[in-house]
Amino acid sequence: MKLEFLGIGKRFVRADGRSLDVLDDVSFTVEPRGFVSLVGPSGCGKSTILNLLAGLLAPDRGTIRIGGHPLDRRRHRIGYVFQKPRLLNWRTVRQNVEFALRADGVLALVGLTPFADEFPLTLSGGMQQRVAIARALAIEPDVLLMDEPFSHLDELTARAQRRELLRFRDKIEATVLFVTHNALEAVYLADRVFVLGARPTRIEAAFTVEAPRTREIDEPYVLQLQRSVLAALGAP
Amino acid sequence: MKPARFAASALSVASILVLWMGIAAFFPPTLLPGPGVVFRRLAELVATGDFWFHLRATVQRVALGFAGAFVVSVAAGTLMGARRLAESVLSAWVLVGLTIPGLCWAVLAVMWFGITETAPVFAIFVVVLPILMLNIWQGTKSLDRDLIEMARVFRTPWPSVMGNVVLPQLLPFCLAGARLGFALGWKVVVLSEMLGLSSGVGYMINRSFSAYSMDDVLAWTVGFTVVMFAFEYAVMLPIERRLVRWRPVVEF
Repeated sequence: MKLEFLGIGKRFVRADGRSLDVLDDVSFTVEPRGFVSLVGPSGCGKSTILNLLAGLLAPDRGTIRIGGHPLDRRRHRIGYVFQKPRLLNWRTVRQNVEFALRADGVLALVGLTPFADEFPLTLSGGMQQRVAIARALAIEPDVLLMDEPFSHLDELTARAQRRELLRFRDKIEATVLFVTHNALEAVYLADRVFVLGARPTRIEAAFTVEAPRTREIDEPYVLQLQRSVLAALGAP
Repeated sequence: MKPARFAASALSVASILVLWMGIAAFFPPTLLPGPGVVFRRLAELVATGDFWFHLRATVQRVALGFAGAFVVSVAAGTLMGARRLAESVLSAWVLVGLTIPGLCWAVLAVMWFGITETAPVFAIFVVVLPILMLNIWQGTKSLDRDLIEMARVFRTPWPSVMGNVVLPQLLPFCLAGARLGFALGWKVVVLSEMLGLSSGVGYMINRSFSAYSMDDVLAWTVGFTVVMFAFEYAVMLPIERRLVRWRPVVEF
């Protein structure tokens, strides 16, 4: 479904009474089944955007629309993959996915069927995160939110998980919003990359990734676009 | 249980008996009879039915007092963990409750309720309650907030949140509280029965003491201990093992 984030402002009041403008007039649109990476420096409000979309926070200004209707937690299904897997360690892989909804199809999709009856702590960090992805897909989400899901994995594992995500990317219906501070990952996975500035956050630059989905992470086009994204982020 | 660990446990029990026999050899049987004499006396008590009659009375009192304390402490303990106000109001109560000796409660209970079934049940209730509350309070405070937020994002209905997210995290704390609670409960019930009841293991130990029968005092004590030991192995340990089966085994 089409995701529209229109003129959103969000202000937090801190414990000392002073207020903090986190988002100021942020607007962007993601086409149905699109995959957008949001890249920005830490503390720039990336997580606030995800929490607004998940319905954990309400915006002070602006509207969020999904499929043309204002965001409604009863109407829209939002899948969320957190930075850490956040699994129920006392439940099996299958039960963790069933916690969200139906399990079998998505377990096969992410290649977890052989591990369905294991407990999460017997799996590697990468596999645990894959269970979390399966859980988010189990509700057949309209929108899939991913909050730096590979940032706490070692580089080799993260590489394998990214490739895996790209592999089953076309088989899911969801519109994906992927938050990261890793410019290369952002370019490699997405159709479009939005660069966020420092607080109060606005969209500073937008890039379109003109490479086929079967791309490689170290091909010249991807590396070149990564340089442009880094430049937009203000990297030397 | 693995054979090696079972053998280690059996050996540990056997060493207690050997130690007892060794010490008993240096004392007259009126002061410290050996295990043979005591177990023979215990077998007689079991055969006449006396042992089961008094054991049942004691266990019933502990079960009632404990069950009451458990229900109240789950409600109060989770409230304390979840709400600041409840925590500030109730934490002083818990600390005072933990400080008052069990013997004092046993005496007070008999003075208030006289020689009734209410006295021991009340004493167990008030002794066990603060221990259980303390554990469940701490357990609720240590709940993983990230998992609760995750459940909210996935719009999980609250019975499922309770059953799948909250309870599994609280159970280890309940179990630890139950262990300590039972250990204290057995001590308090025996005291209450000594002070003013006409049945139960504590009453029989006191009666044997009045008759200065060392065999009987020890037979009742040992019999009671064996039953508690069996309870630990047959009930508490299997529950615990089931609860932690998702955790990879680490020895260090």
